[in-house]
Amino acid sequence: MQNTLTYIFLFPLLIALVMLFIPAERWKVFRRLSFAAVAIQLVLSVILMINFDQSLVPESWEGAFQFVEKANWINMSLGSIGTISIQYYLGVDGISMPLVALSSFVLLIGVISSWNIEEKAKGYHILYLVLSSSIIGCFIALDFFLFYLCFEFMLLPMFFLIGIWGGSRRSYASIKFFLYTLLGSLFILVVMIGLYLSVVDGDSSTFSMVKMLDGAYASDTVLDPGSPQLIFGYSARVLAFIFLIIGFGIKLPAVPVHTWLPDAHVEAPTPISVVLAGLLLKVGAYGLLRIAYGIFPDVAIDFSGFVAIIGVISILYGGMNALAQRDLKRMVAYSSVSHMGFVLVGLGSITSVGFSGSLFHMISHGLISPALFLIAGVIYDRTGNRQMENFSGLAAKMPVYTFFMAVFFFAGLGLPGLSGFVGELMVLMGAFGSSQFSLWIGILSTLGIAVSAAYFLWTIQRMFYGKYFVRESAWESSMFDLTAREKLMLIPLTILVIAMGIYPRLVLDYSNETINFFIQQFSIGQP
Amino acid sequence: MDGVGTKWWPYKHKGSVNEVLIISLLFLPLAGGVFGMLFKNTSYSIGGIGLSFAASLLVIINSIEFNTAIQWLPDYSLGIKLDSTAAILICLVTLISLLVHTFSLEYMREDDGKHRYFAKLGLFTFSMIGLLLADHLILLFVFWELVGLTSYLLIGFWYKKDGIPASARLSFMVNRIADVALLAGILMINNSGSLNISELSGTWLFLPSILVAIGAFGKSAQLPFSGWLTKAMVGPTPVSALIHAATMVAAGVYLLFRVAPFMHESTLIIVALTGTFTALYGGLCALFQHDIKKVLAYSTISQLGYMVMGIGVGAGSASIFHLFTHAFFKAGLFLGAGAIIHYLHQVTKADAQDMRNMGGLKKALPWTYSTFLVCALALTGIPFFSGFMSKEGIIIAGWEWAEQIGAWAYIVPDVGLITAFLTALYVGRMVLLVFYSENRLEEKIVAFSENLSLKVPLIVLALGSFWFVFDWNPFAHESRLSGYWSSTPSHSSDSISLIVMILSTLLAISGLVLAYSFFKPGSNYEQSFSKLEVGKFKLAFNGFYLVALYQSIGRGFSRFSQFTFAVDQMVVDGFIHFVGVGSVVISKVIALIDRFMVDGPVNLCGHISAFVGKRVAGLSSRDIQTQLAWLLAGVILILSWILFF
Repeated sequence: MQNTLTYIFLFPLLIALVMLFIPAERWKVFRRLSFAAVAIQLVLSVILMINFDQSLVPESWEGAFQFVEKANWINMSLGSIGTISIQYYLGVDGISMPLVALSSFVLLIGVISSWNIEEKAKGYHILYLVLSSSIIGCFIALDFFLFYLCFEFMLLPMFFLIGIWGGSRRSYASIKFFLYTLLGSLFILVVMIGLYLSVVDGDSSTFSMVKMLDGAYASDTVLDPGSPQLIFGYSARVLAFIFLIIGFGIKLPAVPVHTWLPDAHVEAPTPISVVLAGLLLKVGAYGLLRIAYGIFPDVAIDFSGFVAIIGVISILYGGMNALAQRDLKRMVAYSSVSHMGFVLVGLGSITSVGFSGSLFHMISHGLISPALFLIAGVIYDRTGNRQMENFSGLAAKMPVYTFFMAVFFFAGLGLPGLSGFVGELMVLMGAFGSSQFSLWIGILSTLGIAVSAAYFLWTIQRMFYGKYFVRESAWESSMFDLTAREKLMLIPLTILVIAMGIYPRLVLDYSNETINFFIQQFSIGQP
Repeated sequence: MDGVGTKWWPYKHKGSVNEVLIISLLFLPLAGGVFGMLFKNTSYSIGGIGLSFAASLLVIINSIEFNTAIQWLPDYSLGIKLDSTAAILICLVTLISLLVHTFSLEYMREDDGKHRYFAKLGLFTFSMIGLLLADHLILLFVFWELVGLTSYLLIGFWYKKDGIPASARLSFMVNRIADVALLAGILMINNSGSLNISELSGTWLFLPSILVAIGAFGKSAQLPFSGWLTKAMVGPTPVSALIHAATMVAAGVYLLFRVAPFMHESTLIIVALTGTFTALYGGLCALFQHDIKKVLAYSTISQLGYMVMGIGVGAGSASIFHLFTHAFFKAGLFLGAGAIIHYLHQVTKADAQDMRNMGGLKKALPWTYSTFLVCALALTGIPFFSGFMSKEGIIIAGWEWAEQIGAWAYIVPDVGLITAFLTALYVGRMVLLVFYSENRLEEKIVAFSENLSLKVPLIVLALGSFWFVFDWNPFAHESRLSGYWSSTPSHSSDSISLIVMILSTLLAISGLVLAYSFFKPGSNYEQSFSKLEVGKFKLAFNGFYLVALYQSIGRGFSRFSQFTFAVDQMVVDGFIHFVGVGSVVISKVIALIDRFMVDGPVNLCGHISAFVGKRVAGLSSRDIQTQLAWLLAGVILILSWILFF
């Protein structure tokens, strides 16, 4: 198990380096190399999952991580100020393990979905592999600096992947995406510096997230909970928490900082939408859970009602907007906003079932939303159009497509037996059981399951039921049912969504002990 | 419940074998349906449901009880329990499902999608059995949603026809909204203890208990959710018999029966009143329909109202009894209607569900006629038929309940009696219009072979509508089956039961007589009854515009979504654009400042030195001697400046 995390992390990057030396004309080589790189990543994550000790009961965050790799990376002397020491520090616990597995799986689906990209294939696949490494890096980095590096590094390939291979308004969408996320990152950067100045490993300051989680503050530093310092009349910890909520909230995205998402999704090519919805949003949620809630439990407990209210607004507002859409992909994009709201409600509840529900919902949404974007992509690949009113009665013409559509639409609307239900149910159990806020937050979140049914069923009625019809006769010839490649992507997703819906412990057994330990931090943190 | 027939099933005390039995009971219908669809062979479906029914008989005969829990989430177990109530209801579900499968063999023979149809029936039966086996409320909710899904899929089965997709969606949405209430109610109770039905205790607060009741109202089509059931009638008719009459819609009653002991008392009064008015509503609307399936749908709503009323007045046992008898006679009526529709489809192009196109069908469909008549009499509540016994039980309990509650509460049994009269009236009207009088079609009535797969289910269901199935005494309002779902037989005072029995029998008979006087063959009224949509009865014809109400709520909701989207575009994104454009403007201004005010002086210096340079450049000449001389002069100048100043 030695160094497996490093291999998972850096292998795609290595292949991307190799690609640089291959002539661009041989475009088929790139997709095969990409596939191989990500497939090996997936195999390694499965090996990790098998070897992961689910029953490990952590005593401290230090002991919660498994497969830890630690090395000094950068040591820079700054003269009288001291030294900056950055570590190459990797590890996974019960929260990040499922996310690592999800990432490598969704990235593989993304490669398969990229199979027919011929235009500038070299650049595309190099960027894609850089993206793969940085996404995984976000989930396994235990050094804040390394995390931040990966977090920022996701931006770059994403910007180009949308801006070059995207739809007609791609430059608008990619710049919007870039600026929004960059703004978020700045907030996180400030907190990172604050934490570096406050947390010590032995005598020297450290970026180690584990030390931050365990609360190894030097006394009277800016973020020390015991410090009496105020900034503009607020405790620095409160400000730091709010900065993190904004920073990761943009990535999540939470209403009202969500508007980059629909544009980015609509303009992004299908595989990039898959990765964006499946993984990038989860990085935001993971950041909230690990950093905002993990490092600032004492502040989180005061702000849990606020977080949950943002979650409820996201659920209902995102759902209402999804209902208003005529573009299939934009509808799915807004449904993502709505679904990620459940993650916030779960976090806000500060109960173990709510946290587990949030994590489960992240994984489940990480499977459902890629599938929904693939489904939107099927129609777009065939016709170059996604407007709902241009299609009707597809069920008669494309029965296999309709079957998969039904599975994922119903998964999206939270049908029991599919994974979407379990996540929502657990989050709601947390919300109703929470002592942090009133019953009405739970009741309003529950309304979300009626709203999601409304937009998914309306889409089924408009596009799949009724008499067969497509707007342009030129599309007629291309309205064939799913190809083998499309089935190859949707079948594994279907199996996982059903398996997780029936037996949620597939995921929860990994996270259970870690989350129980996590929740204990809140009772200790309380005055 | 120590069984009698150990010789039938020698493994009574061996848990693992019982487990196998129950797993096959649950999964065989689903497996049959799926295999049937994969291999395009309906015998898998029939075999699956047949075996499942056989298994449920084994459970009943051997009084098998079963209790287990699955650890679904970490530290959270869901109970599964097969008690005698569940066992007898599972037996009912699998029996009706088997009959409907058999009937569908003929009904759907020509349909292209019949394998898909049987697969969905299998999924439904599986979910319904699961719902009855669930002991934990969350597990019950899981199957509750799954039966809702299959209902949606089967209502939308002929999805290419106009109006059907919208009906399917409307039904699902109405159910879903009620389910939100149910889920919220369950989760509120989750905080105060176990959700296993067998471990429930205490009394719930008003809010959670009313939310759970609203969930049950949704599934059982009680007011104000009743409209979806009439929309559900666009599905294939055997589906209406199984799902939208006999089993799924009764799930709400079943849930109420299970949780009634823990309900808040105000909730129970609301439940009783809701049931009462739903019964009246259904009876009124059923009277003014053209569509035979709509008559039956409203009748179902009305009968479910009786059952819910029974729960509310504390007569859960009578309600489940009525659920049982109703399942037989209503499934019989729906399948009978299915046979009629099937026949008319072959004879005519006219609307096969419209009673204005029927008439005189007694001769064409003798078996359907006689079984339909039996089931209709059971629905009417005529002595010697099952419906009489079970409905009496509810009304008598309502009367006794009213005695305790107060004078206003007599509205419950009174409306129950009025509805009994209405029931007789609409049943009489339906039977007279469909089977008696003259053929109203242009085509001639032809003989129709009612083959075995149509006939057998009808006969079985008609037989199940006679009194002797439930008790030898036709005036009992208990059943020999009652022991399965109730440990304490109800004791009602003889005087009240006598009064109620006489009253309701008289009302039923007078309803039939009145119906005959209106709709007897050749009467004038018969010619004029084709104008319900526009006349003074249009309110009842349209079901008091409940569906229109849902639709306008839906439209309002959709308009509101347009509004939020406009907000998203204009306000939220507008703000972002404002910030974006603003920063571009500011940066342009800064660029101007940079060019003219910062860069300006720099450029000015540059221009000046260029100007001076040009002037000075004229002084120099090409030959090196002159330059050296200038250089020397310069050096002297500088040296002298250093020396003298």
